[in-house]
Amino acid sequence: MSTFLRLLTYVRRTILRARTRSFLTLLGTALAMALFAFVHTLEAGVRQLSESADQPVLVVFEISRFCPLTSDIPVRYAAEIEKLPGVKHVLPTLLFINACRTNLDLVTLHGVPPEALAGSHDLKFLEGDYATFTRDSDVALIGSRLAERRGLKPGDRLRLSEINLDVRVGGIVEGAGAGMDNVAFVHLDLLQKSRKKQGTVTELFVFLEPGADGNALARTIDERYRSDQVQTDTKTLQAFVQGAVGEVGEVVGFGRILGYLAVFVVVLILSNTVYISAQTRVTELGTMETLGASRGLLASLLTTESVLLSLAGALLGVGAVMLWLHFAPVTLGIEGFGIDLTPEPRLVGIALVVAVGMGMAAALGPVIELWRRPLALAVKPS
Amino acid sequence: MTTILARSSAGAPFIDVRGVTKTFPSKSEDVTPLADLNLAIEQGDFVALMGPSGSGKTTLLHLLAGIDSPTKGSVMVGSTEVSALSPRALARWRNANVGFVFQQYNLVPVLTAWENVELPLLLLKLSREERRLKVGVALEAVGLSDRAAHLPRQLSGGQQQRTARARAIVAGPPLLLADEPTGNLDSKAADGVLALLKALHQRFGQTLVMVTHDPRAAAVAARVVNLDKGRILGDERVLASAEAGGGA
Repeated sequence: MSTFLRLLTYVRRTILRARTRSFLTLLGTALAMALFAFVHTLEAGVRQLSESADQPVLVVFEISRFCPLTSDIPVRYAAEIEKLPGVKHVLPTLLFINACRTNLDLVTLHGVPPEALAGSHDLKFLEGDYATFTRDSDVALIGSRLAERRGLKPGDRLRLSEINLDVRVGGIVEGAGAGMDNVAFVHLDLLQKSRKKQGTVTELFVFLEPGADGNALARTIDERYRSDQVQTDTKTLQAFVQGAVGEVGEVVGFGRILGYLAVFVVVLILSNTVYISAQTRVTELGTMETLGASRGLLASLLTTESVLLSLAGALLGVGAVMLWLHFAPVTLGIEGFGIDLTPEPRLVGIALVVAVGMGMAAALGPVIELWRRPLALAVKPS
Repeated sequence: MTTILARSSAGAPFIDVRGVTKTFPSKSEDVTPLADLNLAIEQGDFVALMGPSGSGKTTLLHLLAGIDSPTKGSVMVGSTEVSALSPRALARWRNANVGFVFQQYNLVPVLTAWENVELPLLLLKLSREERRLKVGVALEAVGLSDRAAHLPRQLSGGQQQRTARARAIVAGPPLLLADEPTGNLDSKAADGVLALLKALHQRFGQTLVMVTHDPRAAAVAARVVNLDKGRILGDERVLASAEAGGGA
């Protein structure tokens, strides 16, 4: 081991020997690992959203809506559903989304009756308080992630010209529910006026008593309104989120294939670089063997060269993605739910492990070549 | 510099090549550069292997260094049967017992002269201070202390040769092998290298086997072995070796 460490200077100088080749390899590796990191982050965001939807909550929409904005449910349904056995609380919510389908900078407004918001979505105040929200009708509570993306703090104003809405930030909240960190809560009356939707809401969040059968209740609700003013489509929150996420599922699946392909491409790039490097040093490696270096030691030096290039590329690529998503946060919006593209800290660990694996795999060919070449041929004068 | 000589058993020569045949298989016709060769070399001797191209000189040198193995026969160096060692054991053995000077020097281009000379010592369990002392002595012995920080490309051919020589002697191996040490040098530089070779041999007393085409190089040796077509044609001891002068 100590011999190996003493020869690290040689490895470092060998990498720097062909600077352009090493730089291009590093760049290729970094780009591929950036793609890998982005896909991993997207997958993690989808997983996190799905997991956070695992709650005893039903979502009631109008049947056959094109997108959340086209659902109109009479507000009276909320009081009627609240009386059903197993229902703890119903939160009528009028939605406004800055883009109906899929987008990368989602802003979702939830217009809710201020007194009904308390106890819903397990909201936790990071800044401001609930009293301010209930007292003033032009106040909004902003989800922490949205506040971070838009750089909002209490006292700031949030303006949405599309619906001529101008509200003051009264607090920053964190919600346990799916995507609630990406939501801004405003007074229902205010949003109804802005959207000209008096008397109706977009959806109903139905919070269930512990042990209540969500699927049975969903069927009961839909049955009850089958021949009413508006027919309903009720799902558990989890089923609803899964359905929404399913829209991007194929994209994520394709992205995953791209991520694996990127890793494979990195292995090829690295392998090519290490192979060329070893080929141009046949005599040099033979000389080192003549001086007493074992083939195992030479193989470990070649592998280290490959792993170091791979690690450097991975750190560069993953680091770039992490910095990008840190300084320019992205939330992918799907049907009003936000998929946060927040790189997990463990991504660095995963990338490093993948990089070491890639480096070792890339060195395999050159090492086998080294092992098979007779020493006498390696040191033969050209 | 301390030279630790691997002793052969009493009465036996330091190098004992017995019935060695080396054949390189080929699709058209096998090539046999050495055929049933026997050669004994005493400890501390200075031997020049001469002969035309293809006579088997370099192949024999490679067999002595354990760089290659014989198809038939055995190569003993000291008490070690080199031809029977595994590749890993051979690497360790070479590190402790053989200094090899290649025809084209084979210096590592990214390492300085100092680092090139230090290379064999990095493979041994020596402290940094021990390595520093040994490299200093080796570079001083070849008169290259002032060029220690230079990369090979910044050195002349003669200086590269001397660096390669310092690398060969730095670990104090009992056996020094040189392949065409004057092959790539002009006449003046070659004279310098030969003078140095002789001086180093006298100073450290290692067994030195040199492959050469150059009669002037052979003249500094104590014994000249002539090879042709893999067999020994002549083996003569030079009584008074010629003085080689000049510097590289």
